[in-house]
Amino acid sequence: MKNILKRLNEKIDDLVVVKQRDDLYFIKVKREHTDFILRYLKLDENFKHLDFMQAVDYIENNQFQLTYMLYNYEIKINLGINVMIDREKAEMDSMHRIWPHLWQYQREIHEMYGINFPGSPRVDESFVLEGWEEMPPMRRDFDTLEYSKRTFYPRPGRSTNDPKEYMKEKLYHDFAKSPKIRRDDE
Amino acid sequence: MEKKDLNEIEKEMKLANEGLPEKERILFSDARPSRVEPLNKYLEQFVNWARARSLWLLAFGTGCGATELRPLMTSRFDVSRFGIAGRPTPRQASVFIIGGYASIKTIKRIVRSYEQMQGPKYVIALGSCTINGGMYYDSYNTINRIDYYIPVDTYIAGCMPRPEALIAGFNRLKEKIQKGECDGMNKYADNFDWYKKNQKQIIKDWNMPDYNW
Amino acid sequence: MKLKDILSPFNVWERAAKKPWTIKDPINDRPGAANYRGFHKNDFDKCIGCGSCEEICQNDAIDLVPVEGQETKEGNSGLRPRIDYGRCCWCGLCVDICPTGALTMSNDYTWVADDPEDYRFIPGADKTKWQDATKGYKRDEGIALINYDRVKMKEIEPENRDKSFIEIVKGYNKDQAMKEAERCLECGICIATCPAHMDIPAYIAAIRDDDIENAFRILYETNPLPEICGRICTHKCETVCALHHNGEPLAIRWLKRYIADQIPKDKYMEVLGTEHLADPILDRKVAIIGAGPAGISAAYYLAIMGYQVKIFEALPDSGGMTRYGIPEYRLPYDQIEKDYDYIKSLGVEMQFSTRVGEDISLEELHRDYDAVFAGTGLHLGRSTRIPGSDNKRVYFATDLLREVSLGNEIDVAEKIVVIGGGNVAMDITRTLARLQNIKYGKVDVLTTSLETEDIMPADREEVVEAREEKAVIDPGWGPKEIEISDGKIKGLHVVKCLSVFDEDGRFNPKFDDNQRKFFEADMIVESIGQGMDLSYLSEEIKSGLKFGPRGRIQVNKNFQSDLKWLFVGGDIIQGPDVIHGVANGHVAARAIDQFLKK
Repeated sequence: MKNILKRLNEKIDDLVVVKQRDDLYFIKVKREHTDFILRYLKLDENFKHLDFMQAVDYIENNQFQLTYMLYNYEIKINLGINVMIDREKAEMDSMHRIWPHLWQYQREIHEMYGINFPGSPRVDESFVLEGWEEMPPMRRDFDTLEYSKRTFYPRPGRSTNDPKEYMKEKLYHDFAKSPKIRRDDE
Repeated sequence: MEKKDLNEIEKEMKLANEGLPEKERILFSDARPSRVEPLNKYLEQFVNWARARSLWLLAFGTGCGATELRPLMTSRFDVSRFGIAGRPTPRQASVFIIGGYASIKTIKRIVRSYEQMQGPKYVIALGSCTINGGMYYDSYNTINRIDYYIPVDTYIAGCMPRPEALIAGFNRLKEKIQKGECDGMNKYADNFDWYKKNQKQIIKDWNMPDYNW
Repeated sequence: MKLKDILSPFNVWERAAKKPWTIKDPINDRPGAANYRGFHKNDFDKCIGCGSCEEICQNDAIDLVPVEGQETKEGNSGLRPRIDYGRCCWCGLCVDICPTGALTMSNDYTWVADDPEDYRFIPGADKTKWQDATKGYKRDEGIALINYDRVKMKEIEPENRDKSFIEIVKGYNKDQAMKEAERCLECGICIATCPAHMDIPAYIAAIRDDDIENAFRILYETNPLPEICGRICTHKCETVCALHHNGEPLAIRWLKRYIADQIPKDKYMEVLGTEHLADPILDRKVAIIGAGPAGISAAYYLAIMGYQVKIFEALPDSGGMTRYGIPEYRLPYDQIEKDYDYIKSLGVEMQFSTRVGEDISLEELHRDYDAVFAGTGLHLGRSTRIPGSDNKRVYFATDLLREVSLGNEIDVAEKIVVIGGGNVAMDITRTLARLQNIKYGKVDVLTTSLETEDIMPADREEVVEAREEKAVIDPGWGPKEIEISDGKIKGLHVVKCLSVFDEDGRFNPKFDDNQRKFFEADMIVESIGQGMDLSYLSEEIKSGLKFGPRGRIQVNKNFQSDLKWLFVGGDIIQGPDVIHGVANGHVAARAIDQFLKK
């Protein structure tokens, strides 16, 4: 693995590598290098298998992280390729020409996160959500509970009490906290 | 004057099938579901006795509860001795088991399958998810209560209920059928517009006929 | 085709005689395993309605609802969990978290109903077929989600403290406080029990967030004496803490002390936002008699409302009983001053060594001020009135403690017996032990009380620490007679006390005259309760007041007496302890504000 990383480092500058386990590495690459690196890893370094592709919403940094998980059958190592893309203009180049089955992952990510993959086959078809009209639901600013309450008829008849408030009401309801500190101008 | 009114009412009673393309509408019936009326008293009692003893399940696993149906069929629980057997098509089945959570995509298929079943037909709902959402109560894609979309005759508590509990559920269903109390499908026919309204509210891409297939 | 091919299908016939795999009656033949997570049970005798189950439920399946027959009282909210089986996934977290162990699961798992509304039920209240099941899931000790062990408080070892009055308890540091604060379940059961209704979960949450300044502001909303209460409060809150049922209660008192200790004296005004309050802005004046907790609490809340407040105190310094009744090793004087100096800086005047009734009369106060608050406390000792108790070497604990605080030397004898089982008795025992140690280099104090050890009113740790300091505690004896020869005390005769209270809970001790004991002593201290000194009330004022049982002045719930201008609170009304005084002062201050606005 060391040699692979070394060779990779020669190809592109400032490569960030995170070793999670002996058989699990992650590298962070720039969006414009992704196509080249994936091709290189598949053809020259024998990472023939693409396990899956996934997205994570880093809403704090206004970014999405896309991860391509590769596997090398010879050295038995998983390698994750992380790409950060802009959240506002969520778009990524389609990689389905390298691994054809990526089209399905890209279709799902397009539906769940609203990330666009121009040129990916059937990317606009709905995957799980048929006739979805709201914001893509896996974005973290989508309030699923609120949506569920609005849409799916939660069963009525539920109500609860806070023990703190309930005991105050029952036992010492006329007790008040500190009076307001009086200001000069009052 | 009177005649015109009648025509209008008749038109209203017909289903619009608006989800279908214009040219396909003619291919589907526009009739509404009708009630299954009881037969002559003693005959009905005999028929109910017979119905309760041959429950044919629709083998459609709509959620994780489908896992619990497997052991039912095999030798440990062997439900065929209770007259229960799985059928591969809704046209032959009389009992529909909603096995837990139903996503929007699944509820569309559930409605479609339920409507294809021949009356009299019964529905058993398994587990928390069908009652009030269960652990998916805050999901963007899972319905909270099944009884807004299809009528349910009996619920079994659990997450998921074990096969033994399922057998208890079947016993309850048999009891109800024998007493002639299972009128879920008549409820569906009577409140058809309400059910349809609820279904259409969540199934946004309604591209199928309104009732008949 | 071979013969074998024809015969082999008949092999299965060998199973014809075997026992079938099929279960004959699946519903009854297969009960759940002994630790099966089936339907819920709730033991109402144990449940306190703290809502931890509701809080931890990931599926929002639990509501807390009032249940008929379950009373809301201190330490028990009267609410009970109602579980929605349209949500539950039987993960068992509610059982694992339950601090009292009331919520459990049976091994029953079959429930069929036609109406989905049936599946919302209150375990324990609604009749279920599994409520008496003995098998089922109970919390395993190994997987408790709560830490039941308190973070240990560092204390000075007995051999390093028994010759001086330095503070024993060292207080938590930041790591310890954070760790202890993390144990809080934030149920809020304790708030109702605290006489001052302090918002305990809120300030503990602030410690956890490391926002000490906010925590400090929360303290001052209900209690202007955090340093004092953080050390010597009777912490009734800890007796109802949800963790108390299966482990050690949260160290609420020490956490309060931790907050107050973190704020330096000169930052009080800045943190509490009272920098503009140095001069009173209203021309209404209130006089307060007694600079104890009740008086100072009333003064503080009146001052922040803008009133001119003046405190009259008979003793030469502030603090009342907190200074003159509590030894320095429990409450150092500089900590009292820290609390008091802040209140002084808000423009509250204090006049010491001025006894109302002698140096200035109550009528004068009434004339010069718009309202008067009296929190004069219990400073008189009570006597056992046994033969010999009129000897000059028989003392009251309160008098001795006051003398020690004033810095006056007391004539400590070599052999001392203390009568009493309360915290004051422990205070005087441990004070005398220290003085003996300083004077003679050894300790010979024996403390005896009517109550046996298990019902002694003193705090448990006080008894333990007193023994660590080599004092002898021998409870369960009733004093009979003090033996005196030639005017000198020889010792105390006691008889075995069988019970202190009768069936109605009234004080009515029963003795066994056959079991006797004799404690040798040169000096005897009585610490069996305190009385009030109401001599500052003139006959004319007394005639305007009503008196309740045990000579207490009758007041309404706002501590207003029948004379509308006179408010009374503190130990002479409720208690005796600091926190009741603080609470009374707070309520009275609000009532005085209402009274003066009219």
